[in-house]
Amino acid sequence: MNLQSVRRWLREPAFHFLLIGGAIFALHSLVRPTSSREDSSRLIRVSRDDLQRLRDGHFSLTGKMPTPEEERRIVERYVSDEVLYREAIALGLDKGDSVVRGRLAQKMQFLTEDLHPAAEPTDAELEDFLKSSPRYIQPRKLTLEHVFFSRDRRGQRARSDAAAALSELENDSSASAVSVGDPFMLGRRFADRSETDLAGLFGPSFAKEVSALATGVWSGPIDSSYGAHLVRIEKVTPSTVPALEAVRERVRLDLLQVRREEANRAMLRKLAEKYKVEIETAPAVSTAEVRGK
Amino acid sequence: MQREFPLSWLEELKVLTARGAAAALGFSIPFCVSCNRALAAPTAKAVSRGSQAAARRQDSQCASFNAERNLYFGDLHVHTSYSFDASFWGTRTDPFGAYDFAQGAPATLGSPTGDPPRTAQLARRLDFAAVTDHSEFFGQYPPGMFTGENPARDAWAHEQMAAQAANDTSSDCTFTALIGYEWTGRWWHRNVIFRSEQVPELAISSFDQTTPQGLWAALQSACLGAGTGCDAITIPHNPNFSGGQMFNIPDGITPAEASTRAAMEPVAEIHQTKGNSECKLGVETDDPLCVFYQKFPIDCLTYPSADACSPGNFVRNGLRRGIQVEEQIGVNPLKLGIIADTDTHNGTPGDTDQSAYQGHKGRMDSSPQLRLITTSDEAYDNAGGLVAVWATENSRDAIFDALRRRETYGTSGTRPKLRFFGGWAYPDDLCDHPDLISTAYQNGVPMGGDLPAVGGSADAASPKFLIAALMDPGTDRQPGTPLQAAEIIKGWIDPASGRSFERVYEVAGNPVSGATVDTSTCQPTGPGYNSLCAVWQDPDFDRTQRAFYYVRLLENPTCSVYQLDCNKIPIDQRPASCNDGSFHMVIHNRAWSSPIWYQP
Repeated sequence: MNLQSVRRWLREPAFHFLLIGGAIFALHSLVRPTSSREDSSRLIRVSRDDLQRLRDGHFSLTGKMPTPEEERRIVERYVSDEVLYREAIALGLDKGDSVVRGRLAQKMQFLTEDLHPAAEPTDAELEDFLKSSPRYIQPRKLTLEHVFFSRDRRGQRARSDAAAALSELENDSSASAVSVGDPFMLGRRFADRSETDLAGLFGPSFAKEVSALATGVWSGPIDSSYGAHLVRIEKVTPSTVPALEAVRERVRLDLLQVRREEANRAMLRKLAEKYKVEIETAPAVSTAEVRGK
Repeated sequence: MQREFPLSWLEELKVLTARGAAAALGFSIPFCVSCNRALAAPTAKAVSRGSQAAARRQDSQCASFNAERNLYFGDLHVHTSYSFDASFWGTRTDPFGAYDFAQGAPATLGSPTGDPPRTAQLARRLDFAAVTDHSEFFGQYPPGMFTGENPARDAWAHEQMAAQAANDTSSDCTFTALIGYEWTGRWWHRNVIFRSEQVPELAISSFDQTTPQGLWAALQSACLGAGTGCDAITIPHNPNFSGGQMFNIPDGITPAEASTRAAMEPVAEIHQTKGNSECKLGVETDDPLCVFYQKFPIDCLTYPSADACSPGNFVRNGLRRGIQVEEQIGVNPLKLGIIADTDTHNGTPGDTDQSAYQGHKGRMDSSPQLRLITTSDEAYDNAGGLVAVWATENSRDAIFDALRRRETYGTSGTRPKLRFFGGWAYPDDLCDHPDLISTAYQNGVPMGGDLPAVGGSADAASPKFLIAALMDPGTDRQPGTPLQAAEIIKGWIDPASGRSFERVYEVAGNPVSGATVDTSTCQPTGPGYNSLCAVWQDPDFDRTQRAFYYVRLLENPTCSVYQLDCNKIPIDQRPASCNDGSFHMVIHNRAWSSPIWYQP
């Protein structure tokens, strides 16, 4: 072969094609040494999304974004986990694992949940929901006045001093409650308080006792966490269901949430229709009994 | 100052608060137009926010309205399954469930795989709460839940919906749900709390704004200055692991920067599950009571240069730095009131009962054994704290206003009641006056305020303070612990040198009463107080020295959560950390009031 014919060969497009094709083939076999069917399952690609998730994980543990060095180690760890994961799947280790099963079921549940608001409820529906839900019922509330006899100041006498003051108040309706007793830093009068509120202010046993008192008269002594009290109930607000106008937004959002959950259950039922479920019956025997045998 | 006005003290407070907030803010927008609507006459119409809820509230005040202020307990730092970390840790309770929990419903807690599910329920409901999920990765958790075009916006919308559903806008005022979220920068953790349902369309995260200054500017444009009625504060938390950065104010700070910070951050979180941030022994102090639920057990007397020993990590040191900066530039950037929260990652606001503590991080700290591993991330956590506010009623506006005027205190989880006032003319026998609280308001300022200017004919030569406290009355499940003592912590600046100083004064009760606790049974013994009341006058007052005063109220000693955890494990199976001094086994639960400041 003379030089001229070599030059001609070098200019020949068919030769270029072969050369480039060969190079691609060689490169391809270097990068992907196995058949194309195996390629996709044997490629471990750490995408930008994966990277972001790994950074999230680091952040949650340390409160900091990873340094480049930390990130390199995190990615290394991710890749080795991925290798083990792929091998585990290949061996079928995911089958019959309750954790894997539960996790996938949960992901599927989120996927099927309809998060968009259900149909806007009508006023009548809101009324019905309000009346049928115990959570909106307002507890019975008391407005009361009290006179305080401090245990820290009076010791054992707190109760007897209160009893003496009570008979004074009973005998002389003009006697001013303000002139007896000790100062109380939360005040003398409390408007519209539930038994729970009163328990927080004076202690649970005081709240129980006061809830049973008659209205309009001085009663006591009643012990609190702080001393003895004389108490006059001014007003009792009975337990009520509030008017819709007062709680409309809460009721609306709660009802929408209930409807969303109902829709989710309906969706699950619909998915379940694809399946035939068979449940065998077996006598109830505890594991311990079985072991005993 | 207040005595010169012919107005009632209530009207006056309204004027002063509005004026103070506007002046301090340095922003030109009049966002405080309706700050004090709660104090206004029921017929007064504030600027309408165009929302039904707001309009309704203005017409019908709460039935339990009290001009002399009611006490409400809450939690403004709560993570649910919408937070990436809580979700990782197995928490399934969402914001709706968290607000239900705050009002007394049970919640399920995350458990390690294979362990039985755990549940929790409050022995006493909260009066208010804010769910504050991480805005970082918003919408990506729980995985697969938000699949729309903009998951972050959808998650934020659900957060708002949960708060709207839980917020009681009727005149019963049973529960207030505030809308909020957490913004977490590298060192600087903040909770963003909104006044109303007017909030930005997206929760600004640390991916959007990497610094607190950036966050404030972004909130200014998306909220405070947006003309929508939106109003927000940011609450610094976990200064204890800020690497000294949280309260490290550089010398070059400008008055404008200081004003912005002061306006955006009226309160700081002093205590929560991941440790206490009041102070640390060896960090500009020798106060032994600083040894309390410290997240980092490092001995700062021995290793003063460690990051964990930097003054920038603690509220008391921050308060000192604040008045030091004010001495230099005329504005105090760290004018911090005090609150405390849980920072629960179980979706369980207010579960601070130490004897019922089950951890706050899902499956990570779900057993006593896990919590007692000294090398884990969860070691040295505690049951967290509560925020107490003095507010006229239980509504969003009233609670938000109380936070902004700093009429708040924090507790380490129990519910003692604490009032603190400062003035110049309080009678020494004020504790014997039946109307002590009205007198205290009329002649002075409550916790969080500035002492009025001195000069009245009845004024004393140094300021007087009223400290009044009642012990936590407890519950059927858990009796309250009697009080042991009340202290005043004073910080001041020597104007000649510009240096700051502090001193602890015993003002009521008996810190050496001999009360103690049997660590094997956790039964307390010894004397205590149901109530404390004292008028205290500063014996070392110098009117040229800028100063602040706050109260630390101590309960009798009890077992710490660590001792309580150890006692749940049979003696022969307890980890070494139960006996080797790793943990402090006896603690004094306590409350910290917001300070009252004095300016020369």
